[in-house]
Amino acid sequence: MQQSDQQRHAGKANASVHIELVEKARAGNRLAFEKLADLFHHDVFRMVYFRTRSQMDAEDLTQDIFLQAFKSLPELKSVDRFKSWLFSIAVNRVRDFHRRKRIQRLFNFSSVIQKDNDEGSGTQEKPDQLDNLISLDFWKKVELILKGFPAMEREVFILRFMDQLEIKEISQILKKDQSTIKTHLYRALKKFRGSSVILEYFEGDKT
Amino acid sequence: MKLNQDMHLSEDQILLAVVGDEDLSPYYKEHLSSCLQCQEHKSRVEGDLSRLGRLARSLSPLPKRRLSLPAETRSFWIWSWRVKTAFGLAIAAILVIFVMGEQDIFKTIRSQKPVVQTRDTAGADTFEDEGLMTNITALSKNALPEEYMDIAAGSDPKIDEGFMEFMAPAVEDEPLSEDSNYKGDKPC
Repeated sequence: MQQSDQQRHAGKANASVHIELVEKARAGNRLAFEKLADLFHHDVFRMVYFRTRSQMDAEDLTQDIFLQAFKSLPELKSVDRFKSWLFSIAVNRVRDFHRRKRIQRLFNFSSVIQKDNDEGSGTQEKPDQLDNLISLDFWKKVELILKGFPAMEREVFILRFMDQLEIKEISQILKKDQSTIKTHLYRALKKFRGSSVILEYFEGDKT
Repeated sequence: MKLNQDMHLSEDQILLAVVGDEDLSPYYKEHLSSCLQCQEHKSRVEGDLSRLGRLARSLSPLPKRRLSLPAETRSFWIWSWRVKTAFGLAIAAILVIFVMGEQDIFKTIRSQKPVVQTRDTAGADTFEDEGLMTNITALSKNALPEEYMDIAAGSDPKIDEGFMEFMAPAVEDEPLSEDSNYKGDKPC
């Protein structure tokens, strides 16, 4: 109980620091924006990686996201929503990326497949092969489960349980009310629990 | 109300509780708060989900590249914003001047228009007819174009009318020799 109070207090302190930094950055303080970028760099990178599974693409997109945030920061209305705002930029950029990739696939099918294969084989050649195998197996299974989800359910599920965002934050990012988000999340959870793949994975992981 | 401890929450209700406790009916909420079995069920599901999140985080790489923000982007942005505003204002000013100028032109046209408008079509026809008749009269007097006038010598100013009359008198000027009242020599 005492620990959770401490966590809550720390969270509040962090939030006030964020707000202060966002206010400064919005006023044109470059240093404040750099601090914000340092704070959220890993979160945004991971968020993009979960959706692209390519380090190179994730790095490029993360760079784009922060550049766009830097340019559009004066347009941010409520400073306490910086994280949601940043993630909504990220969600849109990832969506654009997938759209572009689909079009590329349509017109230049063979070269894109070749590139994807090259990226996949690249990870296997790294020195820590066991870690890479575990990683490949995990992401393959996650992909297998999420492939069956409708787009909105998949997005809500990843935002909630992989990016570990609150329902309120997700509703701000996707610009939907909280009850809609909960409905999508409930449906996604039902599908997730019904999937034998992930149950096997977790059962195996426990033993 | 006495709770039935055997009436545990179903998988769906547990999932509903995982999404948000507040969506459960008060009965099940109360049951969940007191039933260890249901609490365990719920924490098992939550544990699986948090393990998924942990694994996803641990099995994703760290960014290798540092973020780079352009040094002058912000000042450029402000500068470009100012330039955009100035450009917009300039365009607006040009438009205003143009519209005002247009209005002046229209005023001038409007002030000229009544003269044109008062001339009715019948008057215009008469005007055209008069012009046509003048041309026809000029042609009947001398149909030759200007460049042929030297050859024709019809309008040589050196040859005056008196000389021409002498050389070729008009028919009506000749003496009437058959007239009985004629005085003078009789013709043979």
